[in-house]
Amino acid sequence: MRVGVPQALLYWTYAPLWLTVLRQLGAEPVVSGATTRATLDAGVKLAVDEVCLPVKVFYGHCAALVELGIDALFVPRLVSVEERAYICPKFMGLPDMVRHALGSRVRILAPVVDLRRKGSGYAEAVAELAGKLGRPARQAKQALGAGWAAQTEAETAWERGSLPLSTLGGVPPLPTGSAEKRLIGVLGHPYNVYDVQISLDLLGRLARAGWGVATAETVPRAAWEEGARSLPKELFWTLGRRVYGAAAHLMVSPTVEGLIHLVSFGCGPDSLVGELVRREAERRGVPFLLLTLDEHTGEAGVWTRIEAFTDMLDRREAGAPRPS
Amino acid sequence: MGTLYIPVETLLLDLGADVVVPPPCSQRTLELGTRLAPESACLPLKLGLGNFLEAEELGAEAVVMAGGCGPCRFGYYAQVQREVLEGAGHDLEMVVLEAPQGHLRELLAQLRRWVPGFTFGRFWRSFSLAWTKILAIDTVERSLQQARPREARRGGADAVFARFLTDCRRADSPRRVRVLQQEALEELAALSNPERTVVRVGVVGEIYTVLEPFANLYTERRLGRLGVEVVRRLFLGDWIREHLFRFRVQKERRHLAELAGPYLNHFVGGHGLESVAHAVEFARKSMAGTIQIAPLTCMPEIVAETVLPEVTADYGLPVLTLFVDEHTGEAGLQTRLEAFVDLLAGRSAKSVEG
Repeated sequence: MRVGVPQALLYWTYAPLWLTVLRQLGAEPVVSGATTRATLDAGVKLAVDEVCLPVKVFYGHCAALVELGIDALFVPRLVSVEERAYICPKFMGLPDMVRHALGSRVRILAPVVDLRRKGSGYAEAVAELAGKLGRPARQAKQALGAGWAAQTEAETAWERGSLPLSTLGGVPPLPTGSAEKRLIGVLGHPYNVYDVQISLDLLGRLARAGWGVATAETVPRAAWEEGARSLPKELFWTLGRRVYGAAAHLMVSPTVEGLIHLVSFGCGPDSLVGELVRREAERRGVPFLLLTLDEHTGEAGVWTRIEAFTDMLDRREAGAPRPS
Repeated sequence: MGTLYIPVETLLLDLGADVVVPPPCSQRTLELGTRLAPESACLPLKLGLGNFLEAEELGAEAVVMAGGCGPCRFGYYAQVQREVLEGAGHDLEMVVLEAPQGHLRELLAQLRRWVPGFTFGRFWRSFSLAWTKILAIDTVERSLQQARPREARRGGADAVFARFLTDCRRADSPRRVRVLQQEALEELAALSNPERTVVRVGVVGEIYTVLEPFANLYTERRLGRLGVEVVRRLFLGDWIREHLFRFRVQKERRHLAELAGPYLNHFVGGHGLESVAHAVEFARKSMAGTIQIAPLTCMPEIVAETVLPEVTADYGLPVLTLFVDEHTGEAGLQTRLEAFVDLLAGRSAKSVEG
């Protein structure tokens, strides 16, 4: 069975796991490939205005996959992937939203992962998926094991500096934290940071301008978990915890000169997480740039702001020491 | 939020706390809040912040705010508001009531910490008075929704409701509250003309913007004046029941999940699922249309907005979605409401002819 996997949203976080599981269960995953202007425009047409850019892009990928002729579309309902946390309400409703956007033209595989409830963990989700793919339940366990192995391997590679941008997105590797490079921390949800179309190639542009880049995925788990716990009340959004935790870690890292936080316009969690990061950066005297993106963002305007930011970092480097 | 201040004030006063109630939400509240709040935070956070600042001006030293555990942003409001207030140099202590889903006991334990001379017996007495007020306000407000489009003199029904709220706020026994309720209901009945034909429209959406008239620019009053009887399921009493006595509402939750199921098959936080379920219910009860009200960028309601067109397609129920924020203009809103009501009137005229 040809199963369409949109290269959008949590593809950028969990692709190694789910692609392996699908293959192990005898399906043939068809990945939609990099976002293009056309993908984005198609998604914008299918969505209500208020939906955030990455969800619109997701719709675009789904539509492109349907055009390709697939047997089913893979849109897991990821409610909660860690204890006491959610992803975001839109992920909880994603299969319903996609079904509405595309009509009944395609079968949707939507296993539910909700670790807040008993009996709806990964094992159950994969068992359900196995059933839908016509495989015996005993294969599910093995598939999930192989999936986690692949995921762990990928995450280790990310921590070592091979970003999802290249390992999952097929973009040639960027130079990251080598000793002589000056570093900028780039924060944000993986589906914004690593999607070249959405981020307007932020990572590539920084690299070409001679900067090293540190993203949340390069920060070891223990370090960002510690950062996330430094808040008086822990965040209940998985992606937000990761962003805040990584930000807190990168802010005190002596080699990181400034932080850029990439958010989608209208992102609910980031409207609060971004504010917390900004205030913490201000307290610590770390230069911080918030870039809000939507489908109307002009490339030239964004790049001017980034240039102004890096120029400012250059002046700080040349002149006065960092205020503490 | 709406009339929530009345029972909360009653409860705290009765327990012996020194209570400051900020003035009702106004343009000034919004401006104060918007100046300090993160730009892309949703409207309720900004208005809440404005309320706190206005309470501080009246001498408040601490503010009470509810917490939560997501996925809606509300659960994290208090943390951000505290940061913002501190950052702007306001010395206002924030007491955050984390009502961990259905654990009334933990909430009581928290109350005990900061109300002197707290006993459960006393709490129960104060709580029953507050609860009676909530139910009375909800009952009178339902009647207000029916009276508005039928009132003989414009504004008459709202005047009765305002007077009832003032009296109810001061009432010191459940019996007094029930007397006031009865009086208000009779007055509302007296000023309505039952002969008048009205259009019935359901209201769904995010609870704060639905219940706080300032946040939705008095949409229900505007609708009433356009000859619309507003019907909604979201009331203060239901909201509190849902949060404090979760075990009692399981059956209703299942019912809502069944209604929404064909369109939205999972809880999405806030009142997203309820919005879809209520719209289906309104369609089945042959309302002329439904209006969805929510703060701009509200995540659960965006999910609901996405699937509501299917309810429209299946039941022929027109739905108007209103996202409100600090830039929402009165004239623009009025025009949209008028156009919507005209559309509904046109449809019903057509169905009569056909």
